[in-house]
Amino acid sequence: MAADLETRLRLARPADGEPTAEATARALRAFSRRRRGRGRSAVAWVTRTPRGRLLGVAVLLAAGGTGVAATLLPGGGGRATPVSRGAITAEWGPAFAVAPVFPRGQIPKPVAGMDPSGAVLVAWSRGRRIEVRRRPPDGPWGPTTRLSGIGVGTARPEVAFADGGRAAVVVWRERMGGRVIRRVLRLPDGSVAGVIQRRVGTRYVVVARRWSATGGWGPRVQVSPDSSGNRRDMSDLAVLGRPNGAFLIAWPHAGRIQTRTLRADGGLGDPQEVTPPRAGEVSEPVLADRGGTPLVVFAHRERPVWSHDGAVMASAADGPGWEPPVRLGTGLALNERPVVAARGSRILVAWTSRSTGTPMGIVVSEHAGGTWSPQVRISSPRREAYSPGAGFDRAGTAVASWSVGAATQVSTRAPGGAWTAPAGVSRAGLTGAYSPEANPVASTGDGDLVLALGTRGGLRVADWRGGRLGGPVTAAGSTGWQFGYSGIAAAPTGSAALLMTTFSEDGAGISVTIREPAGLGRDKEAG
Amino acid sequence: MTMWVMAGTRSMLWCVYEPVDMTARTTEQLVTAATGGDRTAREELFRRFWPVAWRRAFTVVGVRAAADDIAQDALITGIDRLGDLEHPERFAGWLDRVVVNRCVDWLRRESRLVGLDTQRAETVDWTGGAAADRDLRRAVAGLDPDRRVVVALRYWLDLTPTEIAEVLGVPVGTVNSRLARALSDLRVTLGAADGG
Repeated sequence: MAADLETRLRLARPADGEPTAEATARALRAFSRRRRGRGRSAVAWVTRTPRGRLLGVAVLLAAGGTGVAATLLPGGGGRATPVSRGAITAEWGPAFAVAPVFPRGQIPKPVAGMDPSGAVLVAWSRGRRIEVRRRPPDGPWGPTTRLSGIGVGTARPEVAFADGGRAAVVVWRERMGGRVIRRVLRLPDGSVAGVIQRRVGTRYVVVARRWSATGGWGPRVQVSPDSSGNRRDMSDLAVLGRPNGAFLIAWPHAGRIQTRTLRADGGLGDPQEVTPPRAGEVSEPVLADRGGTPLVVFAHRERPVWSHDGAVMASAADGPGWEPPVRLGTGLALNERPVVAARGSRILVAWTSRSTGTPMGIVVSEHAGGTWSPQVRISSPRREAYSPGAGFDRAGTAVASWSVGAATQVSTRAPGGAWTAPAGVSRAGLTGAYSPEANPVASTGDGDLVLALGTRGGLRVADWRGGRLGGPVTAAGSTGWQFGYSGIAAAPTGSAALLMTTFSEDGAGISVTIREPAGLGRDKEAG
Repeated sequence: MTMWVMAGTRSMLWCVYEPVDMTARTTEQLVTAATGGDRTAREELFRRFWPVAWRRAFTVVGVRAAADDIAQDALITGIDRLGDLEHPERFAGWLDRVVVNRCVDWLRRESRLVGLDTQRAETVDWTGGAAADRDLRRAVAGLDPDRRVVVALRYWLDLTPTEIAEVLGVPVGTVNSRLARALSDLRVTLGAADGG
C-alpha cells in the first residue's frame, strides 16, 4: 500500500510551469532597484498572492500602464522582385532601438509587419498614445508618428500591409468617456500605500488609420459600428491585408466575432458577424487568406474564461457573410492565440492544448481538399510543449515548431504523408517568450520560412529552405533580458525582421534587427 | 560554443540542464565576481537562476503568484547575502535552501489564515496528470505545511531524505517521520474521498 501511494505521488508530479514574462520583468525591476540602493516601490512590495492581487493591479493601473496585444503579421503576397537565395546575407544588422525607453510600469508589447519589398512598420502603445515607425527597404528608419488623438486611451495595435506594400493599416482599440473613481490607501503612519482606482462608464471602439505610399497617413476611422462597455470586447484585434488594397478587420464583441472591411478608398463595408453555435465567450481572432477567401480562426469558451476548455473555431467567408464556424479542437488555454499558416487553399492551425492528455502539448488541424482534419497532437505526450509555430514551405510541406523546456522541436508533414516524429533543432527554445502568441515561424511569401529561437544570451533565427532547416544564426546577441522575443517577419526579397522587447535598469524598450539582401542600406543605420 | 551543464549538483532529477555559452562565466566565477561587487555578474546570476528558483517554488507551493513572490524574494536576498557564502560552487544548493525555506514560511502563513468558507479550499495552479492525479495533488495541498513540503521535495523534486534534511535544516529522522505522517494523512484523505 505504501509503495502504491508513493508511486502514485511520483506519477502525480505537477507539470513544469514557467514564470510569466510579466513576473520576470517585475522581478528584474525589483532586483535592479535593490541593486541601486533604492527602496522597493509599491509594485515590488505588494504581495501578488490572490489576496493581494487587487491592490497590485490597482497600483499598476495607477501607474498608467496599458497592455497591448503582441502579434506580428507577416507581409502579404509579394510584388517585389525576389532575389536569389544565395544573395541573402547570413548576417543580421545591429539591433536598432525604434522607441525611447519606456517609463517604469510600462511594458510595451509592440507589433510589426514587413511588406513584400522588405519595408518594416512597427506600432506600439506608449501610455495612451499609439505610435508607429516605418523603415523603407533601403533604410533608414523614419521618424516616430503618433496616430491616436489626444486625451483618449488606446491599446492593442495591430498592423498589416496590402496591395503589395503600397498600403498599410494600424488598428487599435480606443477608450471613450468614463470617469475614474479613486481611493487612496494609507499606512498607519499616514504614508500612501497605494491607490485603488476604477473606471466606470467607459465605452470601447475599434479604430484604424490607413497609410498609402502616395498619401501618407489617412484620417482616423471608427471601424466598429457600435461601442461596447465590456472591456473584454475588442480586446483582441486581427487585421488581414487584401490584394485589392482593402483590409479585413476582426474583433470579439458580445460572444461573437465581428468583422468589417476598410476599403481601398477609405470607406467601410457592411459589418459582418461570425456567431458560434452555442453561447459563450470568443477571443483571440486570427485572420488568414485561404486561396483568396478570408478565414477567421478564434477561441470560443462556453465555460468560465479561466477554464482550459476553450475550443478552436474556424469560419470562412461566404460571399458577403461568414459560414457557420467549424470546431477544430479543444483545450486552448485562457489568453492563448492559435497560430495559423496559409498556402493556397491549405491552412494549418496549431495551438497549445490542455485537453489532449497531459502535460499540455501542441495540437494541429489542417484544412485541405475542402475539409478540416481532426485535431492531432504532434508533440510528445511526455513533455510539456508550448509556443507553437506554423508554416508551409514551397513544396507544400507543413512545418510546425514548438518549445520544450529550453529546446525547440520541429515536426513536418509532406503532402499526403503523416507528421514526422518531433526532432530537436536547437538547444534554444522560446522559454518564457515575451509574446508567446506571436507565430515564431514567418513565411517569406515565396516558400521559405524563418524560425525564431530564443536563448539565454539573445535571439537566434534559423532558415527553412529547400525542405531543410539551416543552423541557427544569432540575430541579437543580447536583448538585455532573455524574454525579449516579440515577433518575426520576412519578405520574398530575403529580408527578415526580428522584433524584440528589451529590459534594462531604466525601463523597457523596443528594438528591431534586420537581415536584408546584400547591397541594401543597413549601413545607413550604423551608429 | 554551447554545451549542456547541470545547474544543480545533488541528484539527477533535482538538476536542471541548461544550454550554456562556453564563453560565458561559470556560476562559481559569477558568484566570486558578484561578491566582489561586479554588477554585471549579479545581474547574470539573477537571470540564470530566476527560472530555476521559480520552478522550485511553484512545485512546492503550487500557486503561481506565490512562486513569483518567493523566487523574487529568495533571489534578491540570496544575491544580497553572497558574502555569507563560503564556497561559491555551492551557490545553487544554497539558493535552493533559501527558496524552500521561503516556501515553508509562505505555507505556514497561509495555513494560519482562516477562509470564509467552512471548509478551506485548497486552491493550487498545478496542472498535468489525470483526474486521480489532481485529487492526489489536492490532498497534498491540504497537508500540514511541514509535511506538504517534504512530500513535494521527496516525490516531485526527487530529493533523498538526507538531502531534504540538509535543505530544511532538520535531522533525517524528522524528515522520515514527517514523510510517514504525510503518507498516513494522505491515505486517510484519499480513503474518505473514495468513500472508504
